Amino acid sequence: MEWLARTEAMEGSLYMSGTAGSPSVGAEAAWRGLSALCSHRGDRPTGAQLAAQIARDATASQSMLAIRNFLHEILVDARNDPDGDRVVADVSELFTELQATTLTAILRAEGEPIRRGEFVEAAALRLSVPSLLRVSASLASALDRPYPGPVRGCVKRLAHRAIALPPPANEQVEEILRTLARRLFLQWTTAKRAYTSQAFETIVDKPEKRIAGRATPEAERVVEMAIECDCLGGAVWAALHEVVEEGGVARVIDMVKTAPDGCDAAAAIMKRIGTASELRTLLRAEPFDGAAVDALLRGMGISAANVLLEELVESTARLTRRYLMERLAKFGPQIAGLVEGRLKDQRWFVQRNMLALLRAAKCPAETPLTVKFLQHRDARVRREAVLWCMETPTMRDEALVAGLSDRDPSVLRPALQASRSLLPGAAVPALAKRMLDADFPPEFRVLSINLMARSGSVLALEALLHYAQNGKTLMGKPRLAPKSPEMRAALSALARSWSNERRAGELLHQARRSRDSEVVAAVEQIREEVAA
Amino acid sequence: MNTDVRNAGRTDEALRAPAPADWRTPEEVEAVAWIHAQVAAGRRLPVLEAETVVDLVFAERRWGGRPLIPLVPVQDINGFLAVQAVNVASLAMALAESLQFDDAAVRRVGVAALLHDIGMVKLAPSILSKPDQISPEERAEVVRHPIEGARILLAADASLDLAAVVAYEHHLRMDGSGYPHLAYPRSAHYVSRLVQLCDVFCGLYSPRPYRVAWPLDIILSFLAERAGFEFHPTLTVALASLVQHHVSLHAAAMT
Repeated sequence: MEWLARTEAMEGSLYMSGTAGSPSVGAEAAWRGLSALCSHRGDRPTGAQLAAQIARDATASQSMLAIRNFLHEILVDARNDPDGDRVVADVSELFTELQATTLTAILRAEGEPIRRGEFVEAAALRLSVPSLLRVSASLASALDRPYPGPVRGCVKRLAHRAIALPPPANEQVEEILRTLARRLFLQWTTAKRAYTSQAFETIVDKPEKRIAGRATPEAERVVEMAIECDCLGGAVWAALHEVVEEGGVARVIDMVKTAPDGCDAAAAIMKRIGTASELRTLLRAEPFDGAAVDALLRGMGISAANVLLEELVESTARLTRRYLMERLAKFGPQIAGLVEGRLKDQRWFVQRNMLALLRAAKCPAETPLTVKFLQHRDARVRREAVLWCMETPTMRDEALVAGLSDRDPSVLRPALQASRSLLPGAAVPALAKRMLDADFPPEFRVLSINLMARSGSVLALEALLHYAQNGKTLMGKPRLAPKSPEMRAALSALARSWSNERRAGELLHQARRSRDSEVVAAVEQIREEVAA
Repeated sequence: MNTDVRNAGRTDEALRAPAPADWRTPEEVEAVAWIHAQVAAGRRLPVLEAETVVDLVFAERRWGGRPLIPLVPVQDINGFLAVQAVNVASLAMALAESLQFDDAAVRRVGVAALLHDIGMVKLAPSILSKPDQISPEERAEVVRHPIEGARILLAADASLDLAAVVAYEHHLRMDGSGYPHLAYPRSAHYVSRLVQLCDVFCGLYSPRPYRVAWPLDIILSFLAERAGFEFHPTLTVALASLVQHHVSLHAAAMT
């Protein structure tokens, strides 16, 4: 037998007790007896003889440990042994013959707790019913477990029914008894798990699978009851897990929303389902349930920001992105760090969205990053950078300079519009330079001219002349540019601020002499205004 | 039909074995009383021990000729709670078996029935044993027992979801009345209805300090009158069939 070979190899070490190195007579005799028990020899010892041999060494813990290990091996090997039933019957007889103190000593013997657990589990599955009762009583005693008399009486009566009932009822009851014994043994022999936060997490995150059937309440019912009672437990977490698995997050959120005030269970449930994965699932659900997401977000707080950002980056649906932007913006400046981290993404649309979000969340644009994005190669990114920076007072001028210098109309437009209220001096050279460019968009010219006129800067003169004058005549006099809105605007601006300047004066003189009443009006109207 | 049987003065023992002269409290009742004491003392519910009792009741039901309601009630209130728990478990398991529940489900029903009133152990003994009408304040305490029961069971073990639901719902009626108040309106679970019916049946079948036990025919009439309003109609019919079957077996055994 396999166990025999293994245990023979251990002989002389484990099976020693008393004086170091000298084999215990009792243990050795018991060892020989157990070996004989498993043999096919005719002179096998009886249970009573063997019990007596084991009892001789009952005070030696090491010997009792060895005996227990033997017995475990025997019970395990008997499953595959053609003679296994006979061996188990003999071992069962041995257990009924053992004195309670000896049996307790065997069970109490020190060693790895898991080995004792394996032994009692094997005993629960294999030993005869009377032996099982003896083991259970001794085990309770060995472990100082509360095993109240009435419960012991119930187990005894169960054992009696397992023996006395006619088939197949006896087999059914025996099965119940063995399962019960195994569970009792395991409960007793397993070290009591401390109710640590780690254990709690296990219960919450990996709850036991619920049994399906007529005698199982619907998971949603259990969750509802938990909130109504304001109580939690393994059953609630298992039910909650099932509801969530089946896509019922929105329903749970509804429950939590309508929970009684101050319900701790509802808060804990919200915290449990308020996870990144649940939020992600909801965000990707079709159809999109904004109310459910909002409820989840209220529970998750800022911890939801990263998931929202991920979805903002990856979502291809414009409406979803808009929703995400709005929700993220509500977090305010506290999300600046998270968003700036996402700016490392090189994709233009990611950077654009992140910059737009920083602006919407009213995050101050005071980081070195901003300058980099004002000069970004993609106009869509530059536009958002300009818009964001313009809202930070310390960055406004720099943003306007960048925006007014930009060759892309989509960047220039917001910069010009922002300059309506106040064109800072620092921005005048940029706009003046830009206005001289051939590709300066016509739709911005009038506005730019008006802004320059109001700035009063010397630099504005060249830009205004550029739009009002078209070279010189053969006589060397300035020639008016062809009539256009920007030409009239430039004339007006020159009339308002530069009428005393020589070149401007000459041009204005030409304008007053023009046959076109609109051109004349552009100059005269300003003169009248100034006079008034 | 007149169901006022307070003065009926007889007990129909067709479903219960007569108490022998040397009668002593059976182990399952003692075990349940011990379980109640553990919970009353604020300890965790001993789940395995409760399951042991149910396993025993389950095994006993396979013992030929066993009565449908096995135990003789006692007058002491603590003893009554334990006896009532075992009786309700036995009857509920029998009813579940008659409704073709599988064995595992029958035992789950048994555990739920055994523990359905576990919240009562949190009540003051003075309320439990009061022979007179209870005051409104005391009633407010009493109607909390389903909530207390559900809390005890939810906190005890993940396997007790059905037991917790039954403990919570066993005073909800078919017409929506009863208690506790549900924040999320719903009808009670089928097994809650089943246990509720067995609880009422066993309660009426037992004598109390303030009344005698009701005769079987009157109990069945009482339940039938309230079927559909208070009790589940098809379960009421099933229980009546089960009871009548046992009565006829008892009558045959007598002859």
